[in-house]
Amino acid sequence: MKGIILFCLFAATVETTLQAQEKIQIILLEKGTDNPLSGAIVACSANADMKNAGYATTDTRGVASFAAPDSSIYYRITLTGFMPLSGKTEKGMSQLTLYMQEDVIGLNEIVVTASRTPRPVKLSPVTTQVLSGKAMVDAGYGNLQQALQQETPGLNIQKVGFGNEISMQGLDARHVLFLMDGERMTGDMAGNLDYERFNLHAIDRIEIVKGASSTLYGSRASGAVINLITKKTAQPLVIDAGARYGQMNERNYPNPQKKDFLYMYEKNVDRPNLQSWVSAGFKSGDFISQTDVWYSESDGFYLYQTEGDKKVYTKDANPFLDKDVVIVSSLARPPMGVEGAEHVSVSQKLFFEPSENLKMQLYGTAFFMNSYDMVQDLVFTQSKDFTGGAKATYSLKNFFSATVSLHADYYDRFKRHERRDERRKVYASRIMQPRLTLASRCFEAHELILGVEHFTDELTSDRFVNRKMTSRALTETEYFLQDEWTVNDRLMLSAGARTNFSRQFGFMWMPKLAVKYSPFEHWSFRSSFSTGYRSPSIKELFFNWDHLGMFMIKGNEYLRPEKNRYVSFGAEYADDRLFINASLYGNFFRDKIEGVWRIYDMQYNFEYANLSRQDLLGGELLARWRILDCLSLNGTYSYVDVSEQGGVRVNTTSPHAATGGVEYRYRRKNYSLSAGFTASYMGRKRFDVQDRVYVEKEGRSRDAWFRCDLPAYALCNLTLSQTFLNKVKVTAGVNNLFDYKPKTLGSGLTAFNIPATAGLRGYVQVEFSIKN
Amino acid sequence: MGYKEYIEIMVILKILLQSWFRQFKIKIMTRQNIIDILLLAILLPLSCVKYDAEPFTGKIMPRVTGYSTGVTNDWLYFNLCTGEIFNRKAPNQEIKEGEQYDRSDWDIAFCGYHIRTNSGTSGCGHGGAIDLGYGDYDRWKSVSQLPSNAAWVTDTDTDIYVTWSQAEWYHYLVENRLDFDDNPWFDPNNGPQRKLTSANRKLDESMRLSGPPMVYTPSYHTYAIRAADGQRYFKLQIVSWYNINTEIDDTGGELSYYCDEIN
Repeated sequence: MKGIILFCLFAATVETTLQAQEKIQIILLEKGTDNPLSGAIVACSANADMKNAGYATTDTRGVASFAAPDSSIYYRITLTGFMPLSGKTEKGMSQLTLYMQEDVIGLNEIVVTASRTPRPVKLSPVTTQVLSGKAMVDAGYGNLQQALQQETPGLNIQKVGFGNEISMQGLDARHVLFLMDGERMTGDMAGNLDYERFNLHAIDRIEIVKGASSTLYGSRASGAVINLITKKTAQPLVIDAGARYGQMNERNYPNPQKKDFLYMYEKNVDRPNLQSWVSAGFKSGDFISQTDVWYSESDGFYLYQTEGDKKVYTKDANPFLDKDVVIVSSLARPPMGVEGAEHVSVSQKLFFEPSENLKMQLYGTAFFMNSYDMVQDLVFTQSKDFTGGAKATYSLKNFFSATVSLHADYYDRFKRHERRDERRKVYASRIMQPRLTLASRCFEAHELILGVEHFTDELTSDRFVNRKMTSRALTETEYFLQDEWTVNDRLMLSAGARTNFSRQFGFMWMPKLAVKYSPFEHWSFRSSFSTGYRSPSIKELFFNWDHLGMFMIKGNEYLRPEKNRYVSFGAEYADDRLFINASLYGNFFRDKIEGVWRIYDMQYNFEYANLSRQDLLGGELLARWRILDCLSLNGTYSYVDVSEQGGVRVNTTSPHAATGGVEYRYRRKNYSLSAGFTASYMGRKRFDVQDRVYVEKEGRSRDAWFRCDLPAYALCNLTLSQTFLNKVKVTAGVNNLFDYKPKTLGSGLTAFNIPATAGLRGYVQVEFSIKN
Repeated sequence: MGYKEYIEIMVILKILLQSWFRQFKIKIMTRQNIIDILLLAILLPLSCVKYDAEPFTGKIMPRVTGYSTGVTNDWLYFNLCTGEIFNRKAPNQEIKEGEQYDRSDWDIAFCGYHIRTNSGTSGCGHGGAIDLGYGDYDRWKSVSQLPSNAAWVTDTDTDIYVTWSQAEWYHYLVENRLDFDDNPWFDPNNGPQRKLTSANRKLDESMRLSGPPMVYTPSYHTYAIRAADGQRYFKLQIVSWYNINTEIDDTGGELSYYCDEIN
């Protein structure tokens, strides 16, 4: 990114100056295909240490030109997704052809999430997993949820009553902070956003930082931060467009008739699985524009269970029982509906970079979605979101750079009638976050960041007061400070702290410390201690909702922020062909906020409370191996142990999870072929669910826990794609290759812990690329 | 998407595309063609909410029945031959629970989605029901079409449970000296408390209940109903737990259904 900006500033000057001189042309081609590589940043200098380097970028022919000095020149070439090149030209040389190789290992990716400043992932003091947007599209993933589940260790996406639920390292979505270009989003349900808002084709890369990152990102960054960095073109004009057709999950209504009572419902739940997208960017002078449009629709389907529910009340979890009690329901369990959806998102970013010292950005995204659940209640759900903001950065050499930004997200949810043209707003959420960040490299080997941000969160819902639309709001003001100190070539330290003040929760502070030590060329050791916190959400504080007189969901205005301490240690080996990262961690929560069922006032009440403690201990392994230039393997494994409370395990995470993949690539000029296989494994899940059981010897029912036991499963995908003339790409693939379908939906409320898959389904995808 | 959002998106995209091509000085004709093709490619599958269903020609239950009215056995009785309705305005007005057994002036009754025929343990009549299969409501026009060897299902009191009303459940707890907190009316894992009643188990299959949250899914099967006199036949298809005129977020209970005589 830095290179691109520097190019913008220097390219014109360099080219003008060089017109009257002898030139040397560097021609950059892709290894294997000989395709010209455009947009690469070429730095040239007379000195090996690249001092006073000149910069140019390769054009669509892959050519960059420089003045040819009397002596040889040193060059360094970088391009996103490729391994960097550096070397020296011979004296008197007028043309040099170089070949860049794709960076399968991904160690040269520039990341920003772990430290809020751009640096190569291998130099980051905190382990950052990077998923390339291009690689995810190449792998044939249809949406972000699928890509994350197949590529990220320990990340699980399961079906719940209100949509999808993401969990990671034993923590639910409330502890996983999703960011778009470093900015928060709103409109979540129990921490889960509408993941359909994330356009896979607009993503440049995804950066995943596990562990507590609240020092830099504040509340909710206590389990992990997933930062989606969107595309910004470096080329004069790029237009990528594509369409995808997938097999339907289930045909429920083969022939809807207008006379049918549920005509609209029947049409909507049986929508075809279609997607289309356009991603277009241009760069002209000081302006850069990036536009992304994505449309997608999918059908709803049912998950079935043939046998009756089985509940096991263990003696361990229920000390009043003499032995384990098993109750099998004689009634068949009704199928569980998985909703279909139709959505479109349009995003526009404008960059204006008139000088080296000043960069400005305006951005906005509009998102509309219809969710078609399988409930025949004559209504469906509509969502509407507008996100926008502005950023400006002014730099004064290395002394400091000041970035001021304003980010806002407006999210509305409606219920729309299926027989009459009317809708009703049921939910509105607004966030606004102004921020000022000062960064400085004034002190040698130090990168300092000081920031202040103010966060306003307002939620309007009919679930606060007597089913009337009522608003509640929270505001927080936070300061953060971080110093990254490169002590020497081997040792790097990062230390920081954040303070938080709100009228609701008072004052808090969160420190962090991270160390990276690289004793040998390919080895690195990282260790970190960080603190995290999560302020209670507005829902957890203020909900007061009577569900048809059956039960109440009650907020708790006396909740305290939950806090956690995260400790990790990791070792990493990396060279051009092999990358292995192993880490151990402990995440220790106190005052963790959970929802619990309590009986009083003659009914069940679902209340939020600060529970005592929860400790999560685990380890992770990431590995990538480029066996041959055409063949690469990757695999991950995650283990987590969640502490029990009084013999009861409420956490629904499986201790074991793994992902794996193999990719083969064949390349030649104007043609390439890629075949990939990915697998995601989730181990057996055993957890306890709150319930009641009749105790015969006492002649009454008692609060009890039943054990839910869900089997391990694996979801495997296969994809094959061919690219012709570097312009047209055709992909065909199969999801859930071995046709896994969950046989049990769980018992009672535990139906919410299974993968939402209809079984083996195929798809085809066509993409076009235009470059000017 | 509603029409408004659809138009908004179209306008936004057209402006964006036009600005790109103006920027790159692509010829007017070419530019317009490319814009149209791109718009078509993106938005062809994009659809609006269209209210093009035909008006509903079936019947709507005159009121909500069942536990939410405060009465557990709140049955609404219909005489299909005369069109007369009993307990139309409130539970247990014309026919009290238990009195229905000795009366032959009703053919079918509803309590929530549970259904009685005037037969077996529900009534002294010659009623009953058979399942004619999924859909095909209009196909059944003549008694001669009904399967001659069908086993008509009569009502029983050992299979069907209705939901206790909260008031009656608490009354039951008091009478039996049971603890209120040990025996809540609603249990998140098992739903509300239920009790056995007399009803038709075949017709109970016309609606499936799951949850919480409660989801009512009709089977869309057509059922033949034999009237209390054993001579006349009617067909019944439940199409929704909801009244077609329901308000958004209404909890339902006024069933929408088709019911006509088979001559």
